[in-house]
Amino acid sequence: KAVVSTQSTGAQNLDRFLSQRSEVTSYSRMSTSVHQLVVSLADDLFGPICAKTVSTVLQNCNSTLKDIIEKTGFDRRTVNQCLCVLVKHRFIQYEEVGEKQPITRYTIDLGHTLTLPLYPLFVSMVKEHHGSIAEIILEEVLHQGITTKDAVLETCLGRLASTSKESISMDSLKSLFDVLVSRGYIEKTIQDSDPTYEPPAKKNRTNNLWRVNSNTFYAYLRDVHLIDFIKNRFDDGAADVVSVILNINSQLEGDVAQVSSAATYDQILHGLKSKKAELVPFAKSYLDVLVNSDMGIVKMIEEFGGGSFIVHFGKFYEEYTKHHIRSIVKERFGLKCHRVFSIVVAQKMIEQKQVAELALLPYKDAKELLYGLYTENFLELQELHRTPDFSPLRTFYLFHAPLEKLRQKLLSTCYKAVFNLMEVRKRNLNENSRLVEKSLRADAAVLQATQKGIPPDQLEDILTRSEKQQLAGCMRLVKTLDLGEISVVDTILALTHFGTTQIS
Amino acid sequence: SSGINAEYGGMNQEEKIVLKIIEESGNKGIWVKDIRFKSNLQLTQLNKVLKVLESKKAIKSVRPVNDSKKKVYMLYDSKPDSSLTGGAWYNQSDFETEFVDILGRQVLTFLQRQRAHAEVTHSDPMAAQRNMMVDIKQVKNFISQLGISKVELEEEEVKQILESLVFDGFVCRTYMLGEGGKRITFYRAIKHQPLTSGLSRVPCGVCPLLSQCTPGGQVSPNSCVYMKEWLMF
Repeated sequence: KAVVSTQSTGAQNLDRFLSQRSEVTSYSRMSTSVHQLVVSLADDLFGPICAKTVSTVLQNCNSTLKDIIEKTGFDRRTVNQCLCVLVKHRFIQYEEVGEKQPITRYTIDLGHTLTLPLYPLFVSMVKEHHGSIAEIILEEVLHQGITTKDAVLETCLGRLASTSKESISMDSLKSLFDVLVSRGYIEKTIQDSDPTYEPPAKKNRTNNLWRVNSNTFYAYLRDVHLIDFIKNRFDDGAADVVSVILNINSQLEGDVAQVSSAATYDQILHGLKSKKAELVPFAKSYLDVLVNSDMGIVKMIEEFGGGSFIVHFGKFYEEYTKHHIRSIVKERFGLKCHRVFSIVVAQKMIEQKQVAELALLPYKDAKELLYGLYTENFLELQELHRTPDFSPLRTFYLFHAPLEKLRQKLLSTCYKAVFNLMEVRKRNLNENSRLVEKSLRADAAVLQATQKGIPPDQLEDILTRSEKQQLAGCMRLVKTLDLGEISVVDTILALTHFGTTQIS
Repeated sequence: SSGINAEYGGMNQEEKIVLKIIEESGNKGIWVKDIRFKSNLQLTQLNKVLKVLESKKAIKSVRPVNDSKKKVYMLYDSKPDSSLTGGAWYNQSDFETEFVDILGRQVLTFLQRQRAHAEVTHSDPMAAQRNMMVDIKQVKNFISQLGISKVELEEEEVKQILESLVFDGFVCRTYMLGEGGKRITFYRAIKHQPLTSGLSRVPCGVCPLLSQCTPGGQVSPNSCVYMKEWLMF
């Protein structure tokens, strides 16, 4: 038989292999910081065994059950239980591959896992709009991942009974749950626990399964931030006009839309009349100002009948991301560096000499700042040779700011920052774990006493004074860390374009 | 050139040639190498000629701000072009950072006052925006009235100040058509945007060692000095 050139078949095989396993290349680009964060989240929520499972699946994406058992060293039953929990909480997703002998392959659902740090934002949003009982319902659905309506409402009832004095009926809870569903915060799902663990016959199909719909939250957050951005850039009136446009066709269809639905001039006037009647005479003017602005966030798509207007989310994401990146450069490197960076961003490709001229800085300073940014990979150099001999004297060296790369790099930094904050919090709570347990016991005793009708000051103090001080210090630390995490989450929202582009 | 001859006393042929070349370069000056190329004189000879002319105060040497190693020659009386001296921003060869900063702040205050005034007098936002715009001439007049500048600033230099404010994010630039179809640039102050990205509020966001940071490493979150300081704050 003719010997086929091994090189060509080898290359062909490799291509086929890579195209089938295209997830491999995207995972290999995934930064260590994301990997660390996801494992840390799994460890926090489910313990070290699940964390090890998550780590294994991260490293060997598209794993089969057999792969996981082999690599983790756990027995089959343990791995099954882990996968069950992780699938329920949407850390891991599975799919059956193959036609003749279908086999289940597991991968990490990065998109969902990385929304975990955003949960406090979701909860506070629901609390703001629907009250503290709705907050508890949402918290329980988040805790349980995928759950039935009855299960979650029973847990809520139990929680409310132990903490509040007034009794809440199951019916009022049910109606509140329905409100949350109608607003799109909670959605129905058909996804179930791992089929390899529970035999299909035992699955209870009479109860619908529910889970939190993060897309709705992303859409609301996007709208809130957009209106805030407009308020800061223009004024309150412009922000009101934009919020009217967004509310006219408030879509819960989700965050992936690049543009909002169109609102006609008449609809805007009508909306303004009910919201802020004093702005009605200036509506046309505000729309002109918004449409003529460089940012292009509000656009006119038709002219007749006073015009039809849309809000361009894509443009907003671009501007908002650029704004965050510039702010990060300003805080990290200083005002002068920020000016130099802005010049490069505005001019797209520019020579060192030209930057120095535009920056109104001494030539040496401008050079230092430029190369400082270059060393930190905030700027890149492009060589443009004028002569075929590639001589450096006759080459243009052009600086440019790779915004997309920067976005990904800074996103990776955000995830690392969240991970670091979590590590410090974990260690702090571990060091003071005895104290924390003691304080929980003290709180439980106080609660019991108040339920029995004994005033709490009659109880003996379980904690000493120094212990109380230490505990207060620990809690203050945890609070600072939590606030820090929320700040970073703000940047994550901007850099992921409110959930529309995750880290690749 | 015969007039110059008479002024500086007798000059030999070489000196006349060199002087003519330097005169032709105007107020941009000419580099020694270029004079040699144009005059076809030997270097040592040329240097002697230049020394003589300098002692007669017929020519002078000027060091451009950007390239302090080079030296250009020009006629003694001619005023060096701003590309050599750096214009109003350079005093001798020192960049006047303080002067530039103060001027920038004053111009920004002027623009912000225009903005505040326009917002108060016009409730229509489009009209307010038109009223708060200023062009370069108005800013130039404002600076002259201030009287803090020793020299009269050129329009180009005023534009540089305004552009630096645009890049700092305080001012916005728009173009309008003026008389005769000429494009005029207008500037207006933008509303102050207080946004600081959340990432910069935690130590990791501004840490220069983040790439080396790893749990259990020499640089780690639990042993981090910046983190400790931030938590104690």
